Formats: sequence, C-alpha cells, structure tokens
Amino acid sequence: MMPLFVEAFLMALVGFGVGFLFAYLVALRRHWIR
Amino acid sequence: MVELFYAYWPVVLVALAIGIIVGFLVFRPRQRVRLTDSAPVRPHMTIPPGETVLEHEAEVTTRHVSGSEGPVPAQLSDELERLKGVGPKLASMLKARGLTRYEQLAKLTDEELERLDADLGAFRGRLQRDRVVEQADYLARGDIDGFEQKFGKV
Repeated sequence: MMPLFVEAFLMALVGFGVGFLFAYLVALRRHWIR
Repeated sequence: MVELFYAYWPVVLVALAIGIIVGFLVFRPRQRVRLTDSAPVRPHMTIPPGETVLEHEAEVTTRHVSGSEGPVPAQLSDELERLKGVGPKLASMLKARGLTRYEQLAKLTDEELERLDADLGAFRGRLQRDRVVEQADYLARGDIDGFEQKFGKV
C-alpha cells in the first residue's frame, strides 16, 4: 500500500477541497461572487 | 477509500475546517470601490474663470459669515412677485436659491447673475430682459416713485 504520509496528505487534500467547494457554493448563493 | 477515511477522519476534519476558512477568505463579500483621478465637479466646487481658489474661498467665506447667502428667516423676505416679470414660480425658484430680499437681488454681480440665470431653466434670460436687478435696486431703497416712473405701477 501507499506510505503513511501519502495517505494522510491525500485525505487532507480531499478535506480541504470539500471545505473550499462548500465555501464557494455558499458565496455563490449569497451573491458575494458572480 | 472508506477505510482510509475512517483511519484519518481527524485529519479530514481539520483540513475541511481549513478549506472552509480559506474559501471564505477568498470569496468573502467585498465592496467594489473604483478610485478615479478626477473628482466629480459639484455646484459648490465650480470656480469662476479668472479667480484663484483662494480668492473664491475667501469670497464664499465672506458671504457665508456676512449672511448674504443661505436660508433667511421668513420675516426678512420680500414679496418678489412685485417685480415686473417675476411670477410665483420664478419667485419660489429664487427663494429656493436663497434670494429672498430685493437687496440681495440688487447686489448680484454680473457674474453671479449669469450663473443664476443658467440655473433657472425655463426662465433663462428673464432676469436680464425685465431688468430685475434694476427693479430690485429701486425697491430695496424704497424708491417707489422712481420705480413707477421707470417700470410702471408697482
């Protein structure tokens, strides 16, 4: 399997991506951005 | 994948929080303010040609202090409709511009008159054509006889 730090890094990346996407959608719905 | 998530859920949670914070900072509401080099010119900012800024400021301040401009108490206002060529509409327009007494009209300089005239819309040229300043001068001095000789009955 993958080394431990790669697994942790991937999981962190996925978490960050989901959070960023969430913030983007919220901003879109509240018309902070176009 | 699912096992990975179960193994690293605290890491995912922390990353999620960081992602939300960074996303908010990137997409947060901001005021869109555009700065320009040229300031918009407002009526009180126009300076007549041939006058320096300092002279203009001095004149405006003098007028402000001496009270020859600005709102005047009702008892100090004259009946502007007595002037030939000035009806209720024009009189109210003049009053709105702080000109409520004959004396003020009589003291208008050519330059001020021109500026006022340009601001009167449909009544443009009326003040010059009917010699309103001259009429106001007679009435300001209380010279009714002189007024009637020149302009007819009050």
